[in-house]
Amino acid sequence: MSTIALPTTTSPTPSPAPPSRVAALRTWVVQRGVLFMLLTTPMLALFGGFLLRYTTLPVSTLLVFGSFALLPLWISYRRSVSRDPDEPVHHIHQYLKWAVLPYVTFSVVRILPFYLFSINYWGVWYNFGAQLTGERPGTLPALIAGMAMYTIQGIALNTSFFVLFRRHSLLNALLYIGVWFSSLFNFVFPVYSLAGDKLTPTWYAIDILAHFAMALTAWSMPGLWEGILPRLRFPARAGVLAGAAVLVILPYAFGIDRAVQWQFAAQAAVERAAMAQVTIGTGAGPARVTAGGNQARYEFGLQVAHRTYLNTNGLERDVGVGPVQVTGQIISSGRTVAWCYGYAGPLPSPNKVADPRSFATALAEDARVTVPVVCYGLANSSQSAHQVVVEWTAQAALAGDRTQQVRDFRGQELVALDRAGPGR
Amino acid sequence: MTLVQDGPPARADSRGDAAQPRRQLLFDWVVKRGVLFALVTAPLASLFLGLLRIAPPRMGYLYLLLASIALPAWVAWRRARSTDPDEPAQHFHRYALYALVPVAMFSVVRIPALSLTRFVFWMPWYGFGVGATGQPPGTIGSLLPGALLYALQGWSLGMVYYVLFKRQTLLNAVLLYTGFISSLYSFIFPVFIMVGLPATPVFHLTNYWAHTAMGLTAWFMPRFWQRTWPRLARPARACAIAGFALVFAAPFSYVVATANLWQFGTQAHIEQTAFARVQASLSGSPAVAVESGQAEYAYVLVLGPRAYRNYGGAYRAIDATGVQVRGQLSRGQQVIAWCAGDLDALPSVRTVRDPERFFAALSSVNYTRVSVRCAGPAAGIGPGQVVNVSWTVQLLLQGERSTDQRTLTGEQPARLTAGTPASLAPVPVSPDQ
Repeated sequence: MSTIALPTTTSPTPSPAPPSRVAALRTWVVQRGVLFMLLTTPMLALFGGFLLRYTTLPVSTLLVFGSFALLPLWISYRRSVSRDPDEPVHHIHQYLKWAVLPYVTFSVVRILPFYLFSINYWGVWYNFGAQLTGERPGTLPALIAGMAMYTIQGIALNTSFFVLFRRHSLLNALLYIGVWFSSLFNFVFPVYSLAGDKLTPTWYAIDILAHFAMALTAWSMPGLWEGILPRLRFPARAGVLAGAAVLVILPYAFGIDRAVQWQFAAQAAVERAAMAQVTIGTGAGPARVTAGGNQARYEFGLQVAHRTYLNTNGLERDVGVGPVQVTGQIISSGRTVAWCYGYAGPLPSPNKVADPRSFATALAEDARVTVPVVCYGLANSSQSAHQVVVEWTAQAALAGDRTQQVRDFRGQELVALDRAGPGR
Repeated sequence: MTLVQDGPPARADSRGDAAQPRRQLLFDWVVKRGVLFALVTAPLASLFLGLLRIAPPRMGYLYLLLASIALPAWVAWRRARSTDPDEPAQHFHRYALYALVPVAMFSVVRIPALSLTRFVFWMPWYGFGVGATGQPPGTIGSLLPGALLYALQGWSLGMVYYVLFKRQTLLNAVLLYTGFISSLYSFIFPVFIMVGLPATPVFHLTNYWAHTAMGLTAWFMPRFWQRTWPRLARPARACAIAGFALVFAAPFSYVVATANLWQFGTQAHIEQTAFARVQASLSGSPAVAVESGQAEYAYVLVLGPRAYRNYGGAYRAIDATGVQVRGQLSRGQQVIAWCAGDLDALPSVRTVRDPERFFAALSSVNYTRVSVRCAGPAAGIGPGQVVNVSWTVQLLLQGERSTDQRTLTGEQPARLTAGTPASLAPVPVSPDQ
């Protein structure tokens, strides 16, 4: 049997003078600061690429990829040179283990509120996953990618508590995780993310509660893993470990189960209902006519409206519309006098606007989008008419997160003519 | 800190017991080297998940994301638990530093290849960057992430040598890098990565040469740090550190500088030439169907050619979006119908990731058919008559470095053929368009 002898920290003679502030700062940076920075790269990526949007989430996640090599290098290096048994690097494997149950507790305590208030905790995972991988939001690949991001963020956040604080006291846990992170996320997420969400006091209360539950769990971890668990006999220890494993799996399994068993079908139903509400019709104004040579050109617009709906994550979204292809005729005195055509690619939509304020503006602006339609005919065909019948057919592709369909729209309306140009 | 080596394993004294040490050996190997190998190769595994199309490229990087927590946890745990001084986790920081130089050397020795053979060794870096971040290809936005991922992949390959081999000999280095990895690379890159770029003998030669240099450097590093370094005086040590830093920085500095000074300008020039070649022409004859006093027509415009070879000799196709065709049919001075056709985008080869399928796809998109429909009064119109077809095509042409909003006009006499309403039906609108 072999052993590793831990380094001793006591020096034979006391130091004649306390270390200077610069030396203390240097020691702190070397022992805790660098480790904290490398551990929290998932949080930096979240803030830089998702919340504050200095860059995209995949680009900011390169920070995490960089720490993939640097963090174990730093840990290995510090373990080989450090003589301070309190230095976090000697306990980092324990801290990483202790960090697991707190972050899953953060989601587990939000399972009940899902049933009570229909506020689901995994909705934001879709956004993480969709932005990170480019998968469609509201799909299983986006959810799974979001889970991976949530996992490394949760571990990073809780490990940072054990690294930053020498005393893992209840007060420190409540202040750092319960108060500081709770306040930060209650400010940052509504202001910089969650576009289209109408947050209620209940949402804030659940978020604060979940952070306090995470703080309490984080505080209890050293006692559980180093105090209680080693003292338990085999059946009890196995029971505790099995319970911990169930707790770890629970938020993921519950999220996937609800997504697959309930949410996807519910979302598809919501989208189909929303697609049925979409309308296309002529605007209130007259059709503009200009004549040049022996041709007449008619212009009018078709308005696409009623696209907004509330998805199963409680977010306002627009049905994606486009491309739209319009064909039609202008009829005067029972005779076709012009042939019409209009085309629009994907119509503007607020769905990809991540900033909540810009989202609200875009949602209002995109409430009615006009597809221009142009018709051509011979100039002398409707020379004296003041009104004509516009007959049109539009074929539009409609898309939500889970469903797509092509819908045909038709219309036949009496429209006044606004004559302009040489033919007036 | 002191390490005390394990004692010799107990001898098995029966056949039944002989299986036990074998299992123990395997278990020890997995715990000491296997898991570490699986974790340090996460950058390569993530890349391969995408290349082998097991997962979309960016989904493949989730493994690297999770490994970024698992690897430090494993190294820390093994360092706390292991009593074997030979276990790679005990030397992780040294190996991690050793592995930086071989990855740089792999590219340093390929620098002359650009001048000698026009072999642009950093072209795959764009692919790595695009695959992980979705940034546009051929830009600094995808080059820098690609360079980081290349460095991680190379570092990971360097670590493989130190983690897998207890005896870090020259023979092992040559077998691993010149034999195994070069052969794998010579197979994987042409089959899975080099889209639109045929693998020439120069590619294979450069690959074997560069991997051999990488292997020699990987073998040399422990020898240098363990034997030479302690004997060096302070100035010599400073020079050695500066030399290693220079070697590490050289390929990345060279690539960024060459991309800015040569590649981007060359590519933009190539694209402008390719844009100028794109034309619209009438294919076949317009079809006409007369019904209820109205005539409906359909014809096809062909847009192309779009294929070109980029700065590195790889085949690519110009993309085109917002394609809008407007036109008229006329007889003499009389306009008889007005025409229109739209496409959001012409089919692209950018999404083709399989080199085997690329050239077939390129051939199919080189000239693209755009359906155009016309309508007008029916008076005196029928098959066999000659009409004048005129068109104006507006489209945005896009390369990797530049775009060009272009208007293509044309006019051509054509004889009408008989069509049926079904054959004149517009191309259905697709939600995926």
